[in-house]
Amino acid sequence: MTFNARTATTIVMLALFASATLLALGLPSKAAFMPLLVGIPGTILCAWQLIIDLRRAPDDVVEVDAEDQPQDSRTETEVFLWLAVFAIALVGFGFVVGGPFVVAAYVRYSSRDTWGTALFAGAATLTALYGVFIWLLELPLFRGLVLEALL
Amino acid sequence: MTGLEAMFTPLFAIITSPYLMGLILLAIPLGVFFGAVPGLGGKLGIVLCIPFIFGMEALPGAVFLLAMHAVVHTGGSIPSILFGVPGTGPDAATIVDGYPMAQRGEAGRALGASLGASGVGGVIGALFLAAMLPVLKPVVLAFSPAEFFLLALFGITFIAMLSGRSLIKGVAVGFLGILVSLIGLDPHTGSQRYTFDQLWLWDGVSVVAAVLAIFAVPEMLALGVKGGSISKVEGKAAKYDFAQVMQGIGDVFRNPWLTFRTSVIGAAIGAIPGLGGDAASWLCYGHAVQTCKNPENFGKGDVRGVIAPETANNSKEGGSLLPTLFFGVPGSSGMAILLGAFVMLGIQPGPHMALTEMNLVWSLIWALALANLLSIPLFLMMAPAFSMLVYVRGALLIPFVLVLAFLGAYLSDSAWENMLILVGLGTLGYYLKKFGWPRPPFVIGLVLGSIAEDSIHKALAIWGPTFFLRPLSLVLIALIILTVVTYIWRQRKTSNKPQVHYDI
Repeated sequence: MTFNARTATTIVMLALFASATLLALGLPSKAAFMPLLVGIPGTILCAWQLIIDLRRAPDDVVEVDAEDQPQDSRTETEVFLWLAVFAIALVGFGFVVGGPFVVAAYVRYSSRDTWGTALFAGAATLTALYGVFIWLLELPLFRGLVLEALL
Repeated sequence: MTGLEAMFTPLFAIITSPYLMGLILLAIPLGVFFGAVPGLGGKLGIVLCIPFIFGMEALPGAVFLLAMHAVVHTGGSIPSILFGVPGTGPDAATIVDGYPMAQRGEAGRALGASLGASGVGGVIGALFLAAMLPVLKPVVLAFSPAEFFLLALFGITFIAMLSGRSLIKGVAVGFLGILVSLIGLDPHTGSQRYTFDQLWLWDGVSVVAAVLAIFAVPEMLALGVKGGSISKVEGKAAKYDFAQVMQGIGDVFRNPWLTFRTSVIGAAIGAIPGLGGDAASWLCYGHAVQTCKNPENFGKGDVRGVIAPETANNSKEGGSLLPTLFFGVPGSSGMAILLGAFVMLGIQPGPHMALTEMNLVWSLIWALALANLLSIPLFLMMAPAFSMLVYVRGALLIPFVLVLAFLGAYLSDSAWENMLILVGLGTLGYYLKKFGWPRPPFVIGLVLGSIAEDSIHKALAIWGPTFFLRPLSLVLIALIILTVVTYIWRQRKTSNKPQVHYDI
C-alpha cells in the first residue's frame, strides 16, 4: 500500500464529490437532482481510483530523476509561494501597480536575472496593461483592495 | 436569402471589414508564435488571448480566436523541421521527414512544403465543413432534450477516454466540471447551490476564470518547477533561402492528389470527437507511405512525408468545428477550450446554430479558410524571426502569463473574487496535471453542465423516466457503452506496461 501526493490528489477529489453530494441532500429535490446525479457517481469513481492508488506498487510509477532537472528548476513550495505572491500583489494593489511590481520581482528573484532585465520586464508589463487594456480596449482594471481603501 | 447568398454574404462582410481582416492578420502571427514555441501550443494560446477579447462582439472575438487557433500547427512545423523538436504534439509526424531534409540542406524546401500544405489543408478543411452542413442539419434538428443530456455524457466519456489513460479519472474530472457549472442559483427553484451565502457566486463560477485556472496556471506552475527553457532546443537552426521555400510550396502542387486525400482524411478525423491531431497527422503520414511510389524514401527526407501530416494538421480544425458548433461536443481538447471561449462571447453551441446562427457559422468557416490562406504570405515574411522563438526562455514567460491569467479571470465578471477561484482551481489543476487526471473533460462538463441539467429536466417532464428509450437516445447510450468497452479493451492491451507521468 502506498500513500503519496498522487493519493492525496485522489482524496481531495473524493472529498469534493462527497461534500457536494452531502450538501445537495439539503437542497429542494428539483435543485438537488443534478448535483446528486453527478455527485454520487463522481464519489464512487474517486473511491474506486483511491483503491487503485492505494494498491499500486511504488515501483509502478516512474518518477523523473532529480538529477535531470535543470539548475533553475524550483521546488513546488517555491512555485506555490510565488503564485500566492502574485495573488496578494494583484488583489491588494491591482493590475497597474501590482502587476509590473510582481513581474519585476519574479524576474529578479526567481529567475535570478539582472536588475536591468527585471525593470525592463516590469516596464513592459506596465506598458502592455496600460497601453492595451486601459488605453486601447478601454477596460477598467481592478485597482486593488489596499489601494481602493487608501485612495 | 438563397443558399449561395447565405454562404457568401459572410465572406464579403469579412473581407470588406478592415476590423475583421485586421483581427485575422493579428491572429495569424500570434497563432504561429504559440505553435513555434515548443510547449505552448494552441490550447494555451486561446486561454491567453481570452483577456484581449473582452468587450468584443461575438463575431469578431470568435473570428480572432479561431484564426489564431487555425494556424498554430503552421507555426509548429518550424521547430519540427529546423530543430527536430515538435512545436505541438501533432507536429511530431513532420519531424520524420522534415528534419532529415533540413539536415541535408533542404530546410527551406521542407518549410515551404509545410507552409503550402498547411495553407491548402486548412482551406480544404474549411470546405469540408461547408460541404457537411447540408448533411448535418437534419441530424442535429432531430435531437430532443433527452439526446442533449446523453450527448453531454457521451462528450465527457469520449474526451475522457481519448485525452488520458484513465477513463475513471477523465469521467470524474468531467463530472467535477458539471458540479462547478451547478454553482449558483438553481434556475428551477431559485435556491442557492454551493454558494455559501456569497453574493458573487449567485451567478455561478465564471467559465473563463475556471478555464484559465485549469489550463494556464498549472502549465506555468509546472514550467516553474521544471525550470529551463520551454523547448529543449540546442544548436543552431539550419540555414535556408527563399528559393528553397518557393520550391517547397511548389511541391505541394506537384502532389495534388496526395494533398487532397490527406486533407480530406484529416478533416474527417477531426470531425470525430476527441480523436485529435496526433491521430490525423500520423494516419495521413501512414497513408502517404502506403499509397505513394518509392515508399522506401520516407523517413529519409521525402517532401511527401512533410506534406501529408501538415495538410492533416490544419484540415482537421475544419472537421473538428462540426461537433463543436452543432453538438457542443468538442472535436479536440483545443476545441474544448475554444468552446469555453465561445460561451464567454455569448455563442452557445448546439443544434440551434443550424437554425438561427448560420451567418455566424459561415463567418467562422470563411475565417478559418482566410487565416490559412493569409498565413502563407505572412509566414514567408516572418519565418526567419519565428525560428528564433524556439529559444524563448520559459522563466521569462511565467510572470507575464500569470498576470494575463489573473487579468482574464478578473475581467470575465469584473469581480476580484474570480482571482481567488483562479488560485484555488489552479492549484487543483496543477495536481490533476501532475498525476494524470485529464483536464479537457472539465471544460466540457463546465460548458455543457447547465445544458445537461436543463435538458434532463425537460426530458423527464415530457417523457418521464423512460426518456432514454427513444431510438436516438438508445444510439447515444450504445455509443457511451462502446466508448467504455473500447477503453477496457485498450487497457487490457497495455496493462503490462509501467505507468509514467504524462502531460495533458
